[in-house]
Amino acid sequence: MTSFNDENMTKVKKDVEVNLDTFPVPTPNEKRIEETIQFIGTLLDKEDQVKQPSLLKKLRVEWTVTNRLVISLQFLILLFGLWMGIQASIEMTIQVIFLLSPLSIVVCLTECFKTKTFGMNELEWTFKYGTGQLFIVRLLIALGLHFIAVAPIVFVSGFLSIKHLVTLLIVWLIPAMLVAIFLLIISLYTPIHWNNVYIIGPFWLLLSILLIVQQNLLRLWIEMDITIHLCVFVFLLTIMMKVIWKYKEASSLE
Amino acid sequence: MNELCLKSIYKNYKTKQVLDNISMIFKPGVYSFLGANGSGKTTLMRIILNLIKPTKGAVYWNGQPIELLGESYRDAIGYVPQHVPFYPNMKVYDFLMYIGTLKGIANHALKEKVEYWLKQVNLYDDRYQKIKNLSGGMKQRVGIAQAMLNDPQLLILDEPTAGLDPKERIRFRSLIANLSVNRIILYTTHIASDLEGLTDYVCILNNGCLEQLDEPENVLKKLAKQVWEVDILPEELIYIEEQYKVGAIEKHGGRIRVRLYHHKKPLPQAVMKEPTLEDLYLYYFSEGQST
Repeated sequence: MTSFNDENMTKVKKDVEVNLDTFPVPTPNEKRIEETIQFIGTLLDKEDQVKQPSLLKKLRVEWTVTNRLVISLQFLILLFGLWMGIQASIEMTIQVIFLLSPLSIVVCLTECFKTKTFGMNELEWTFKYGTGQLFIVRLLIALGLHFIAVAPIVFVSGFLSIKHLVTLLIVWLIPAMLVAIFLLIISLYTPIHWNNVYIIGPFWLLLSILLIVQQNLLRLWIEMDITIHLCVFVFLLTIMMKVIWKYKEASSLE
Repeated sequence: MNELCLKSIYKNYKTKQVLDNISMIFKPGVYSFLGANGSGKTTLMRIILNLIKPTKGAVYWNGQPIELLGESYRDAIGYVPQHVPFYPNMKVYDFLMYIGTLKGIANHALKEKVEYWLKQVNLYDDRYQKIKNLSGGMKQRVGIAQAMLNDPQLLILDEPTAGLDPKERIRFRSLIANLSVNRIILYTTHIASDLEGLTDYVCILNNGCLEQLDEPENVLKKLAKQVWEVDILPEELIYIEEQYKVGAIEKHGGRIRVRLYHHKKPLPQAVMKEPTLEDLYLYYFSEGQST
């Protein structure tokens, strides 16, 4: 095997010169050089920057900045619900689920609205993932917290038959979603910097009173066929997605 | 080299025209937008940030329309809004870590960057303070730090010195001067004195129109031999204000020292002065006086 010495190098240089003479390459202009540099830049991995964080990471980060008061309140609701589930009758427990589930979701929703409450829309729109995505992540956390707060009450209450369980889950999801939709619509039309807690509090109180007064209506609703519950659930889910989309559009500062 | 290009930007809100045919090209440097309240500065910044859409026209970043660039454009920008809001109950350090994640900065680099910028804006010792306990100037510095976390090529500052005391304004100015290397910095303000010695280009926006875009020396040349200072009696002030475009007025002993703008010597005792950016602002935006 021969080594690559000065003699070889001279030969290679000569070959290159001959080839360049045979196949002339036009010298690119400044603009072309600049464009090539720009293009190469797009092919390189950007260090430290800037990949879209995974949903899990977004959730983890958002969780660290979720208001501790909101989390504590969820656990209080959970403890109270469990205590009721153990102590009281089934009917009483269902009422507790009905009353506590809106409170749980509306408290969580204050977290979803915090971009608007603190006037951060403008700034958050300039980040890699903006207000719309943030809202969805916060909504997922809110629903997660809500689930943690309310679902165990259902289990402890002894409804371990799958059919009952599914019915109950859907039954409390629907009032919670109704509240969420209502509050999202209100939030759309309230001026920036309004604290949504002041809207949510009285609304929950009103809803609770309404449910207590209308006990027969409550029973009627719970005893309805599961297919009806499912249809209503899908219908509400569609409306909710539309409202969230509208919320996103309205937050665009236009 | 990065380039931001505005092509024939118009913006209407219902019947009101806020921006009228703005076309500009920005290369790295500090560009200051001077304009009275309502002149369209903030709207223009919001269009550049892709927060609102222009009625007509487009913004290009390195030759690409910004609405097509999406995330990659947002990676390149840093923004300090006019009213820095932030989450008041968060600690400064936690807030910056949070914003860094929202900007998509990798974990291993983020901590280092947050600490670096906390030191740069002189907030390292206050990093565990809650934002609600900070002064206006400190909040503005948090604003700068969050904007710089992603090392933006385009930094937009919307009236960042409004509400700051003079000491904080000077400190802020030094900070911006340090950041201006190899970046496009767009700086809107109506405090012209903040720009002295800082800005590379002055853009004057008046009622949504771009009146001037040039280096400060060239812009000021247009006011050369038109700036006068004169000591008058207090009772003469009304007459002077009716006759001339008046700038700064200050007490000087029992008399009043008035700075006024006129193409020829207005009064025998008037002394010609070198124009400053503050003169320029007052010349364009002082109300109701004749030239």
